[in-house]
Amino acid sequence: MDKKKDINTDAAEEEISFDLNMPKDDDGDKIINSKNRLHIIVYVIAFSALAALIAYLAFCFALRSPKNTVAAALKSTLEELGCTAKTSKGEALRDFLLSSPSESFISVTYKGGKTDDGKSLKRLFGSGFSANIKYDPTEKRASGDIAANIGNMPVSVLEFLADNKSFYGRAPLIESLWLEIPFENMFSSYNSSVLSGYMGRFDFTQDFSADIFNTSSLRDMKSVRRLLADYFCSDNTVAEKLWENAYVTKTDEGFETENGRKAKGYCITLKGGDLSEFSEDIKDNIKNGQSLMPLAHSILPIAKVLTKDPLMTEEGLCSLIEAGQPDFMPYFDPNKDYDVMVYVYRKKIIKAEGVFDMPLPESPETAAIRLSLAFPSGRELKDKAVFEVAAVDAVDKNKTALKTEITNDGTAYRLSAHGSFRLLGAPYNVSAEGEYSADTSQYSLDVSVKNDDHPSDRAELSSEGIFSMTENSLNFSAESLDIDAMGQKPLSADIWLETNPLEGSAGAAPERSKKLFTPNEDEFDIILDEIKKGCGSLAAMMQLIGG
Amino acid sequence: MDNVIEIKHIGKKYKEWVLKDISLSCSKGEWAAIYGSNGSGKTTLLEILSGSRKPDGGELVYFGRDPFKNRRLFSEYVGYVPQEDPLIKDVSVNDNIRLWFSGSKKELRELYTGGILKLMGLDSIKNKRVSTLSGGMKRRLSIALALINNPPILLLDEPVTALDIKYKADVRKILKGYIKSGGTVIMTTHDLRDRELATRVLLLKDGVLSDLDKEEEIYG
Repeated sequence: MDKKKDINTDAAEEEISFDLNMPKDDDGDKIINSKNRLHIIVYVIAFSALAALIAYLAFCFALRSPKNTVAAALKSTLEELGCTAKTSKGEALRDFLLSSPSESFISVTYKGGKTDDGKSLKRLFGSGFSANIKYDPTEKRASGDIAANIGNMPVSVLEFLADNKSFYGRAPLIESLWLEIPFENMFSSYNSSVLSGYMGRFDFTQDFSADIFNTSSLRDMKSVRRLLADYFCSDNTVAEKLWENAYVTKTDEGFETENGRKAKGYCITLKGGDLSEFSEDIKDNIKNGQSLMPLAHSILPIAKVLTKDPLMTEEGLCSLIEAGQPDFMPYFDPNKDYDVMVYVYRKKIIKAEGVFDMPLPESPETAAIRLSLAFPSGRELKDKAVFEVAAVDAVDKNKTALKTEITNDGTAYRLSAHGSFRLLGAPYNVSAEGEYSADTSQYSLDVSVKNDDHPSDRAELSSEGIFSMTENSLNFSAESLDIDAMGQKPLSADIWLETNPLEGSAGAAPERSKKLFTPNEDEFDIILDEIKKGCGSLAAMMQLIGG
Repeated sequence: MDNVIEIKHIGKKYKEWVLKDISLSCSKGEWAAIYGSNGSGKTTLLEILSGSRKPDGGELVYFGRDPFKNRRLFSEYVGYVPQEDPLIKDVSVNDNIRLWFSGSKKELRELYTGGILKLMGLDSIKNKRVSTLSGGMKRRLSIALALINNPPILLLDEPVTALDIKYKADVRKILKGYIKSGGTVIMTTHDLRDRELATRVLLLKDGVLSDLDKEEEIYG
């Protein structure tokens, strides 16, 4: 489909024409080539983070929706009336509302007080309430309303109807629309009503703005969404697909906040099938090219050095990535549901976490990856955030094998990775600590890998230096790099690398101002490439965290 | 694929049946203007067609596919201008546009310099917060947002309300160009001038949609 978004005006004839996106039947050939490791790394990190963020967004929207509050109040009311306890299919409520064989009218008035039954209802309806239910045997329909006593005036807070198929409710004070809940499979319908029904309207109605942006979390939401739009998908439909099919349940699992308070836990279930479609959407989006440009712009300096091609352009990189884009499909099993845990404290998301089985490219094995975003309460996103990527035990998802944590406290990024793994049957412990200041561009990094059974089997790396990357330059200067591998001869070297590919003359190789290193040229290049690959991934994460 | 839109016996019930049996087929380049008194269900019908509301009966088909089975089709095929402007009031005009626009930054710049955003006069107010805009400006922005991704179907709920004469004329000119480009428009309106421009005039009354002759009196 020609995605040209243009309108042409012919000044002479004042004629306006559109290049409309008419549907076409074929989807085109899918180019799948997963051999380009750089692209795989970028996409795996980017896409995984995207999936977690989308889930996070979806939940934020649902959670902050005023309609969700209404729906939650409705659900809460039903639960407190004892309906949900009896059956999960809503039959008890139907029976309750439609049980009378003749015309009947039930009226209940509650004037406050502290009876056992009244406590919870008082929370909902203030100093008192009245409820009226009427059953019409001719129409086979029950109807009623619940009114809160505000002063001496009854104000209708909930109106409902019920026929033999559905329960309809609305809160006239807040919303004139009726929320329909079919009795059959009532509570999954409830969830889909909240998410599918309302999310489906995001594209078109004012609710879109009310739900997302008129909240205290606007700034965070906006920055995250912008990040997504800039880097991956500016097409709202991509995210919408997920929102439509996400199901939210509250769990007993909590999360302890910094001040020792307990955050509420919610579980968002994402359907694997939809994720596959979602990944296809992203691929389509990328194929169209436009969304790829900002990403290419960011990684261009690294790509130029890696490919040793100073003439590489954004368009060229886009083409390269498109040609080598990995297939996202294997990352999600369409027959499986994925859970994302979200922890909420004082109406603010403080942590979102999901565990995904990620098949390794060109390998029959899979790796379980835990993705986690934590936002300490009461702070701006960029002030302090923790982005955590952890490889977890593929069988016992709660067991972490390697946990990486990057913290941005506003002054410096701190990297911390600890864990253990087995290599050729031998148990290893790994730990890494690092710090990077965006202001001074100084970094320090210490990495240690040890064989638990044979202490001499170890490797340690320690380095300090300067690393900075702008839109068109990469400056890396390792003032010291000490490698002590397996107790063998220590390897020390100084590496200074100052590269500014875009400013170099056409065809000229990137400039290395100084190089002091004991290995030969090839080994140097290999090590340098690995460092730069790491830098690329780190830069992507830093951008993700820093907004 | 002859028909772009096929509405088959669609009904919607709140307390009463607002829409009883709505059927309509529209092909490429068709401009249907729907008239009807207040409360006749015009907005409900457009909400169903835009996917924001589910019908209680009947079937909706766009380009041979049921969008309620694949809701992405709504976003792909339909641009919708609801009665209330779907804008984010606390952010700028440009930010609103960026959230909806699915193209690149470069393409967006082009739209500002020579495309629909320029035509709607939005280039000069791109950095203003939506909450500071007049009703007419908000309306122009809403219409631009509906058109910005070039959907083949455009649904408009009383689109020229609150617009001054110049922009009413501009909107109608844009719609004519849209129709000429193969787009399909369904709009609700009270403005009798739209009857002259539309290729088809319909009346929604008592939950039923009927074709009117162009000369036939609408609110007789």
